Amino acid sequence: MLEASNIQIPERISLAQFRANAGQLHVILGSNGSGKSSLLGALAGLIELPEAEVKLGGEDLQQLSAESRAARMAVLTQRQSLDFDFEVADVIRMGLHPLQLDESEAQARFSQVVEALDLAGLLTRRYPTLSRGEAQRTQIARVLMQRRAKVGGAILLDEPLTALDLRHQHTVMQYAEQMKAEGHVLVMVLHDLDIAAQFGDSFTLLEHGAVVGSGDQSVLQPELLSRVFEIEIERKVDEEGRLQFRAVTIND
Amino acid sequence: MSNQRFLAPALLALLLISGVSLAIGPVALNPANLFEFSSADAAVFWQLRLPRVALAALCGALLALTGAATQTLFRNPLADPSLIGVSAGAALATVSFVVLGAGVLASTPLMAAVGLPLASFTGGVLATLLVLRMASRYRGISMTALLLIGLAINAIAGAVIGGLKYVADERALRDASFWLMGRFTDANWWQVGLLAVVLLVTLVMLQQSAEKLNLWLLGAEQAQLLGVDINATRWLLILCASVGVGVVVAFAGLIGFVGLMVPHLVRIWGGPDNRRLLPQSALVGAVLMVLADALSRYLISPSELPVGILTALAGGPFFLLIIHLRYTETGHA
Repeated sequence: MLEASNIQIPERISLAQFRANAGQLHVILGSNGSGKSSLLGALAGLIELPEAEVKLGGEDLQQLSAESRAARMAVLTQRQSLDFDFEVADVIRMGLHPLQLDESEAQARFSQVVEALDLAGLLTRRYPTLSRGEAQRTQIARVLMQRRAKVGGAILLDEPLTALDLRHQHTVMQYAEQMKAEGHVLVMVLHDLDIAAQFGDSFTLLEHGAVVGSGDQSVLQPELLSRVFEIEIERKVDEEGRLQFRAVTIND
Repeated sequence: MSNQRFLAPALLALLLISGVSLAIGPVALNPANLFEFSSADAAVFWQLRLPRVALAALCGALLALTGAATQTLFRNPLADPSLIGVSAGAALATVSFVVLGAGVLASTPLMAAVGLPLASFTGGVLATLLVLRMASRYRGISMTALLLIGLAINAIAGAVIGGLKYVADERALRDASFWLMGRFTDANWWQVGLLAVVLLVTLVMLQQSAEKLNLWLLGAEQAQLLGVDINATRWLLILCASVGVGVVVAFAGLIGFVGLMVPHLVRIWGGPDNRRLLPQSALVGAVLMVLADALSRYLISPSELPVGILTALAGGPFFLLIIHLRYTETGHA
């Protein structure tokens, strides 16, 4: 379980409690600038907050060195750049750095991630020549390589589906299910409400840096979502019982 | 190419070119006399040519190594060590000394021997500290600010150097100009010894962190999230680059383009992995610098060209080619 309390960044976010369970996907929702990335940055330790407390499985992450922290928590931020001609396979393997895996474990993990994210055809491509979507999948793969060696690690992904085509969005979400099954805490910032509702187990809704809703799927009410995203949102349930959302534009 | 496979051919090339370079000079040496230590041939060989070739090799290795370190620091394959202000500060200090302090330099033999290199090194380190101080903000150092401030310091130093040259007498002007173009004419063994120590320490320190330096290239945030101590890494790179370039500039003056060019060349065949890039750049830098020095003495012998002119002549077009290739391949430089 990933728990945090008293996350306060003036003008950006103010949050008393945060909680995401192991074996579940917790989705952070909110419009642009609502504080989603700040929350993720605070959980990841990128923003130093002496007053705050961040615990993973009861262990205080702020007491840990960057290295021990990296062995427990794998994080994808929004900003990714690499101007050097590393091959995709090298970039993916960089995720292994904080872990002490033996050769065969590392290789098994590599093959699994590469297959699951459909990267086999890209392994010898040089990173700067990738399209945005390909680069994003490479970075996701690198972060998933970094997941904790034993159960109970945390994986934080900030807008992982950005620039991905429909098929690869689902590839990533399917693999996320597997990470849940392994017993890790998964936290994602997502913009696609349908995907969020389909895969998410719990939710935090942010508006202007404050939590305006948290809990299971029942928190995804059209009135609240319309307020958070500042556009009227309708909710339907399809034949298979899945929630579907649609923004109502003036032309409708 | 692995370091092991690279080492033998590179060392062989270094030895061959050094051998040729040792034979070049205004006097033809008789190899039979080299160990007759009282002979004039032996004096020329042991006191002039050998330290000069060794100094060229060490300077080339250090410039290439610090070039690779600077490109890593800025996460930009086109960055050059001069960006952190070290060469500008060294140049300014040296030219000031040459133009305004000739009397001080001639005052004692010790001053004549170490005055200029010491002033140059101090100027380089002070300028780097100034650039860093100005680029420091609340949390760490902004790389963009570092780059821009470095450029500004370079421009200011350039202007002051121009002014000093304008007021300098003919002899001082000539000395300053030669220094600014880079040369190995004053090589001696204590310089070689000092540079060898700096090269060894720099190479070992960087090589030990090579894997972390690869992660650093992903960005400071990503490197931190992968467990890298980003402050320690940043300071390691800045320290190695400024001290490395500082000592080279102190002994050999300004030699451009080697720090930029060599890591680029090595990346083309060996890829960007710092574990291979750092040692291989050092070796290639040594080979190319010995070659450039040999050419500088051969082309217009018995006179010689300042070696910095040759490296810039070869490096300028090479740099343009690299920019062209990067633009056509990925759409960005």
